[in-house]
Amino acid sequence: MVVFQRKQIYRFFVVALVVATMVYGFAASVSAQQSSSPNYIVDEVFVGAGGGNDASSASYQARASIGDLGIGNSASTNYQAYGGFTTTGAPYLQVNITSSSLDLGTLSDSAASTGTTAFNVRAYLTSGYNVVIRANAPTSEGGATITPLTTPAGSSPGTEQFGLNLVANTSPTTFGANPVQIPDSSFSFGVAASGYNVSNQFKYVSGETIASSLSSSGQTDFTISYLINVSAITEAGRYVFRQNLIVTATY
Amino acid sequence: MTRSSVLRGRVLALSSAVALALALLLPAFMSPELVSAAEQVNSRSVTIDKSGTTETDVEYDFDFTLPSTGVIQGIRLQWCTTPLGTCTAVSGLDVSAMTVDAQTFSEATTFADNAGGDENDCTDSTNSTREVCLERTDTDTETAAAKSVTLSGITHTGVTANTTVYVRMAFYDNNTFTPGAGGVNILFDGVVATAIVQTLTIQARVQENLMFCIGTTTVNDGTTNPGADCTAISGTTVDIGVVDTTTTGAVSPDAEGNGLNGIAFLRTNANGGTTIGYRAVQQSGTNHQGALRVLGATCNAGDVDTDQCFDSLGGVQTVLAANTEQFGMTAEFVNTGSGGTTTAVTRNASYDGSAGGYAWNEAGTLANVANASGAVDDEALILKFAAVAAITTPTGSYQAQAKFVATPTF
Repeated sequence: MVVFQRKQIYRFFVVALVVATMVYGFAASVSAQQSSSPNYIVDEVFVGAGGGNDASSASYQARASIGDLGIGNSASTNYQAYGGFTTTGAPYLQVNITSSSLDLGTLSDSAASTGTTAFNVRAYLTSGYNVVIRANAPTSEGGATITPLTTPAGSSPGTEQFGLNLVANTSPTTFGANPVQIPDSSFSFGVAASGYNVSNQFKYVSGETIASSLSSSGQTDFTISYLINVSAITEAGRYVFRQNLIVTATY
Repeated sequence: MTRSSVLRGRVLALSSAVALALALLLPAFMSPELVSAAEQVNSRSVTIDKSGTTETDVEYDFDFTLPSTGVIQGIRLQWCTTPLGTCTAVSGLDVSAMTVDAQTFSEATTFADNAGGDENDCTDSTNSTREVCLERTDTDTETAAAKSVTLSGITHTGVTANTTVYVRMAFYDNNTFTPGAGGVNILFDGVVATAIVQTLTIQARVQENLMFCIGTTTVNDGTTNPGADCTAISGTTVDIGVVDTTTTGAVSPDAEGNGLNGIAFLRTNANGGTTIGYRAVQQSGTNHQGALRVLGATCNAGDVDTDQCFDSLGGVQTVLAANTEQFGMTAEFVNTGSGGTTTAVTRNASYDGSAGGYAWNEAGTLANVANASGAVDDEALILKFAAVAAITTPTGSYQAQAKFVATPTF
């Protein structure tokens, strides 16, 4: 009959436990191991064909990659994915109103007045966004409003009209621009909404969607083209249109 | 080999196996970072009703779809400048005065604002400007369907223009916001975003506009087009021909004269209305200088039929009478024949011809003929003049003059 000394058994298990801990610690330290020198450290190293990294200074930051085999947006009817090393896992929305104000000057009943403003939208990891415009039609200090075009129509000088669109126009003058995709239409997908997407036709209904995207999108630059006509009996005064753009992204 | 050595070797092998097994299992028990198992809510969005940088009582409407069923008793909402990482408040945005306006859940028990101060994950007291915690007591399961929560009373006070706001949502199965080990009590989460942008102001000016002119016209009704505007209006004289003792001998348009009426054309955007009146020109002579008279004649101060001044009918509409010396004017029609869109002009009762009469104020003071209640789009007064002689009225070439005035109120 073999009798093992308790000390021997005890020693075996202590050694086993120490080995186990060392194995775990070594594995953890390997997974957290960074490449570094006294003054620099390289984060998120990828060993392989290509990789990505962040570069930053006091005021700027960039995320660059090399060797991506597949990049950009891939989408089907119900799904979409962004490929590449520089994709973000965080939902993102950016809206910039790039114009601060617009003065259309003195209105005339013999000729239309036109003008443009601009904004851009970028939204990542969304299933789309809507841009809604909300404001009363141009209103004077006395409370008179310039009649908005509730259905798309062309310019008619001498008839009170207020409307807008988000496309390039040639009538009553050449003004406005179609949505511009940055850097191109393979990355960005914003469009002018129905009712506001026909050249030389203008409309305004507060609360309506004027632009949208049906998927995650890079930056789209939009130009809003405004049209105002007045009649001989449009009440005198300074008319103001205080425009609110409300962007809703669905994630 | 002795039996003891064999047994010793087996023990060693067993111990080694145990050690390796521990090495594989230890990370699971010792790792300081266990990933949350919360499912992400789908089709999530937030719609605000006002996006300006300085707004009060902004409404946030959260819409989302639960990916699966679960008991939800706590909802934590954080307004942050980023979707992930440390939550930094959006400067100028304050949710501390929010109210729950509406909510749509399958369970009838409504969520209310956590009134108990900070509580486990909920820090809506410490971070009152950027965090809202809603709670209820309901241990029944919510369906995996679309839900919504609408909050109002949120303020944007000087938020920097073009600021993106990320609202982080977390749904707890308890109303004490206890996350549990590894966040196991957080059943669902998700981030939505909206943007606070500058209000864009478009402005333009409409100038005050008045087009008023006096002339003559062949139009003798209210519908024939007298001309598109004042460029089509001319003439200075209405000749009513030879005045006799009948009531029809000298009434414009008189073929024995020049067959013309007078016309006063008005177009204005004066929304406050316009008055139209006239002042009889005080001609040379003595007495009744504003009457139909012979220039320079000396007339009796009273109304006599033997001087060279016709008796004016005065400020009240009076019907013509044969053999009675009379002179007057009426605005028999308000003409809209130019195709304008308004019918804003109404005549003064003394000059509307309703009784078939005429009036004439010779005093030289402003006499009101008509008023417009608002903007006028091309309306005109057709002015008719008439005179009746008495048997004793002296012969002569008589004239009366008037200056018409339109006074708009913008």
